[in-house]
Amino acid sequence: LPSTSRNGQAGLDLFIQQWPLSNLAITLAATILTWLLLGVLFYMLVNDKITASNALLMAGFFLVMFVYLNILRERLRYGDYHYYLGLIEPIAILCLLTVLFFALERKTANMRLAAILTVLFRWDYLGIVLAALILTHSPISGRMKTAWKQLFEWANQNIKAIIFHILLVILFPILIIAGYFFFTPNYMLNASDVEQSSLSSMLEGFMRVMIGGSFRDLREIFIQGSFSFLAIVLPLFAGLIISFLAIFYRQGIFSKIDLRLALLVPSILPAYIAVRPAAYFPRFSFPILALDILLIGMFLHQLKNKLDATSNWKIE
Amino acid sequence: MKQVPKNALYYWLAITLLVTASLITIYLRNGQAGLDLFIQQWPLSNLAITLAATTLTWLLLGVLFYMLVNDKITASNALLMAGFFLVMFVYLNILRERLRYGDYHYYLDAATALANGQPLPDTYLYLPLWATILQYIVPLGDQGVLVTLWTVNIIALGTFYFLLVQILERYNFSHHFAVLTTILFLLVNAPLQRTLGFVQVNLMVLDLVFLSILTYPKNTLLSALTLALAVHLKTSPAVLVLAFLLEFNWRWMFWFAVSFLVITAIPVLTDGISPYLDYLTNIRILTEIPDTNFHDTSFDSFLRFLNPFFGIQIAQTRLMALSAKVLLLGAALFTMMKNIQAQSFSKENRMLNAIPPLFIVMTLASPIVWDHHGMFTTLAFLLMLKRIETPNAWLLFIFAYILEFVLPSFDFFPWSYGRLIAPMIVLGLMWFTSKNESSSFFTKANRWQAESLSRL
Repeated sequence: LPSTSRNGQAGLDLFIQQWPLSNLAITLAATILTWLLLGVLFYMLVNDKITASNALLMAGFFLVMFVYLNILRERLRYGDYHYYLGLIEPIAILCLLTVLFFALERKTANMRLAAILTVLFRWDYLGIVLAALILTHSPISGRMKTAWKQLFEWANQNIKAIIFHILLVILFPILIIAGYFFFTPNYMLNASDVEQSSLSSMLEGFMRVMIGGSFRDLREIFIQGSFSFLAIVLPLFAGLIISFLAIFYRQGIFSKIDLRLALLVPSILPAYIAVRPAAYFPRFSFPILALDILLIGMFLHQLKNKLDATSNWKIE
Repeated sequence: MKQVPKNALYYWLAITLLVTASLITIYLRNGQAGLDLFIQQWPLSNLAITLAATTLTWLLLGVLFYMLVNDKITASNALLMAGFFLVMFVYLNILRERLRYGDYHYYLDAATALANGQPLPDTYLYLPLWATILQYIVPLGDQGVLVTLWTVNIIALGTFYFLLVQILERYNFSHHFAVLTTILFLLVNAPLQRTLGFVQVNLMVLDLVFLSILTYPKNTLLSALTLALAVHLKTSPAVLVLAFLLEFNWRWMFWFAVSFLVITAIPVLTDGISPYLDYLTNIRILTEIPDTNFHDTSFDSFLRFLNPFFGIQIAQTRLMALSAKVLLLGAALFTMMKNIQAQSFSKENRMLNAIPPLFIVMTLASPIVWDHHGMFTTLAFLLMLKRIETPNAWLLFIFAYILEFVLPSFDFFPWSYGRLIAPMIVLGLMWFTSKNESSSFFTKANRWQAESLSRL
């Protein structure tokens, strides 16, 4: 903070110059990385990490790194990253999948760390990140009563862990948001044009998330004959149906589908009670696309098993 | 087996003819508009440089096929040629990606001024020869001059590659060790990237200096002429003349004096004496610069920024910078004498022993030392591979090498002044190792390279 620092930005500006045909941020980043790599090289030399067997490998690594750090330092302008600005989804979804992975592996500390990061990147993934905790339970199958009973028993036994998980994941974003409100004048958490205004806009928002758009959007995508319809809308729709049937109608094939996975799909929705997902297709649906595809896979697998068991007809 | 490169060469020729024919046909039929239809300018690209880089890469590929077909690449030169094509392809690709080039404007402005009969602008800090030559390509315009100088620099890089290998061999590096050293040196090299990115004349100057060293004493005229040309391009190589004077080779001195005067006469004949007077004025202005750039790693720049913190005035600062340079010159001369006495770089002649420390004076004695001037310390650094023996000396050498050639150019006081310290560390190492015979590393590397690569 300027009030507590010695010279603030002006002090740094006195000692660090911006030179023509250079990008200062990239220059400093390239210099720092080169310096850190040198540290790594010295560390490896001191601790005999470079041996006759890996000397060429490591020499090649440092050569390539130093060459490209110097090349990229000299580049004045960079392209394409502008397109990604504001779209943190690829990283956020990667973090979200990491949460699910660690939950399945029951590595709770790692899962919570990834969960905190995910929510810091995308606040609206909070529901799915919290629901991910149920993946630490073993797979839940069976008919309606059996499956839900298992789930409630697990929740009852792990109530403290669940509350801790919720508080921990929520705490960091709340602190950061509070910090912004405190230190940044006129800070706005959500733009006014993304606030939910009515029940119909809320339902439309849910639809946009769960299957990629409103009826009008989907009609347009269909008319355009876009590959996106086949590759995104259909899996989203099929996944949603399977998810709902696995949650509310656990009969036949659906009783064998893992309830945990089925619950994760709609768990993304709570954030959109307050926020309208106003952006292009299918930005808000991507986080659940992978889950939908998994559910479709499970459904097809169970279907094949059933067909194998009830008839002589086999799917090869 | 030989049929494959033969076919490749035929395909290369056919495609080259096809492209040339299509360009001519399109231009004759539809003019520039036709070409614009088939050749696009892409954002973050310089079209002229893109086309030049692509053309040169394609031509180099043709040269490679030609050499393969005609058995010009043999076991004895395979590594040398592989390194050459590697370095060229790498830099052609790096430079194609560069959007904007610097410094050539200064040459263009000076050439334009001469072409218009005006005085040289104060941004032009060299003897007038370069501007005199360039005034004939001013009609090509900004992009035309850029592409011409850019291409000249690429050719200078290729020449530098072969000359550096030869000069290292002259200093008793084995062929393979010299080639590997040159390849690695050129691939990770911040000053080289700056030289090429700012279309500087450093590579041409070094090519001329290296030619001068390599042709001495067999061809004294060529040796003297090339050094005189180098001095006319950059002035600072004048320091290196001392190494040749120590040979007391009157023939060389005569040819140097004649060459220097003849080259001096060229701008006088075309533009009169005034460009030389402008040069003197510009050099005087240069010594009176008040501000500091943190990648100008001269004594002047360092002290100009530091001294105000201690309340030292600019006049005293200039005196301090001058004193530092006198001390540096003294240290370099003493080191030079020790090298000559011990014949520690070469048993061949005095010049080869005298010249390495003079490269350091040539670089650091200038009132402005940009990061790309680091190229002038090439030989001083690489020749130390012969001499370094103890682990501490190696540590110092590696540290200095990293500061000079590996760390990217940046502007952060005082850390970016590593390029001021690095050559002085090497000068110190030259002093302390002047009595060393060839180091065990050098002997082993020479032997290992020779054995392992001959097995291949």
